Amino acid sequence: MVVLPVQHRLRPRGFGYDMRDDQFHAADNECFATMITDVLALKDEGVLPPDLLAIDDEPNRALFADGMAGHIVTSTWSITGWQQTHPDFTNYTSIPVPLVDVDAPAKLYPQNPSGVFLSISTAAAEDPAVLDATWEWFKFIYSAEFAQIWAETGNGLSIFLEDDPTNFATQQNAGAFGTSSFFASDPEPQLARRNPDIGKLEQTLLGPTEADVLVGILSGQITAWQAALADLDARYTEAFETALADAVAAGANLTKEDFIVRDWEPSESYNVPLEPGHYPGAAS
Amino acid sequence: MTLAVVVLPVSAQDTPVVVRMLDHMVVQTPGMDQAIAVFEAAHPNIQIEREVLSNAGEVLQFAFTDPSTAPHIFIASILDAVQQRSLVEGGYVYSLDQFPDWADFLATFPAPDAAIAPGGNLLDDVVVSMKFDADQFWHQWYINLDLYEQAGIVDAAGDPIIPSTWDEIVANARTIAENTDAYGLSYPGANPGTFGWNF
Repeated sequence: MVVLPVQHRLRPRGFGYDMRDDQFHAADNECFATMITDVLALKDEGVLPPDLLAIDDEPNRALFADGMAGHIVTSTWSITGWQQTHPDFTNYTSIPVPLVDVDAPAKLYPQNPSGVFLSISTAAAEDPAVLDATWEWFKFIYSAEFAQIWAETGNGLSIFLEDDPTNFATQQNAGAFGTSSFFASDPEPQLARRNPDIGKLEQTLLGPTEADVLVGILSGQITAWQAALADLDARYTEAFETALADAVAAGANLTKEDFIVRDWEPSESYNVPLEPGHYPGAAS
Repeated sequence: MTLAVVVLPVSAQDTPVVVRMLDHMVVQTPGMDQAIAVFEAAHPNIQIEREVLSNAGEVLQFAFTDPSTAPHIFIASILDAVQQRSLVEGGYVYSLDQFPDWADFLATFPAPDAAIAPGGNLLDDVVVSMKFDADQFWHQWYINLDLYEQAGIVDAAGDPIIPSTWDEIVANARTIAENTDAYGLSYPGANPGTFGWNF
């Protein structure tokens, strides 16, 4: 099974890492190769804006809404943005991440963990009244009432939404809502469930990141892009080895095996519920 | 004459309790404003002062040294794991399980088991944060249908033919560039971080 362009999200190891075989695959993943080859061709043909490397996020969204670009990649929050900046721009739609070199999708795994996470600071606890008020507001955000507002105003879905999510589907957000049929009901393997010390790995990649390399390829500064991706794979491997040694030296109970899931079949669920008592407040 | 001193409960005080919030959700502001209005109407003794900064992640790393200005509630998911651990080790994060009704709150989650991730939002026995939005794949391809119609990428009824594969997007981008004054597709090349998402 080919694991997609989104496999770079398989943290914590880094871009192109496949936790099934403990290898980085930026250089030999045919999906990346296909997309890079095609994008370079489109650039040469003038299908992309010539000043692409000067275009930031907001101008890119404006280019699309102004009818100067047929396709862009963004997310549902842009819909809310366009409602504010281009209120008359409505004749657009969205699709999930396109299929590359395959005919049918298997599953999409949300980044683990992903989403909007809110915290309360100890500054709130300086005053009991403030702490109480902060907790009330916090709990409201995690309520069905807030979920309804969040969905109605185009910000996506909340886990507390009581209405049928399809009630909020529109032509514009179809790409976000259309993934449900093959969207994994649970995230990719949560390595920290096997060993919480996973979170103590502090990996630092030396040299250009994957984003820097991709921009270098697009700009033409990097012509031998297969070699650049192979170098990225090698640097990520070295960064992990160094980080693992540093974490162990600092007292973390970690081994390389903690980051490998050899028996993960991406079309099947992997995670199992935590045992009762493994977290504060769990039912026992 | 006898003077009676009446101590009003918090809910009856004239001066509302101010809750400071810091996040980076700029385009979500209309929804957040609406939510704040609903909440404050139901809790007239509480005032939410929300600060929205696109660089909230940078600000948060230095926002807690002065408790008189530090946010009381903040977006944790913009911080990476190392930054979150740093805040925990600095004593700046209030472990959510300290609230007396924590267990009741947790029980409202559709999947309480999945709501806590050791090494994620549970660090060193501190419940750092909770998530409220549903899982989704964060990025989609957006398609300008006016350009599809102008370029002739339509079916017999004149409706745009929506692609589902990369090959179809590439082909349609070429058609748009050939048949209209627009570009077939665009990337935010000036922002390597965002550009990387496209792959």
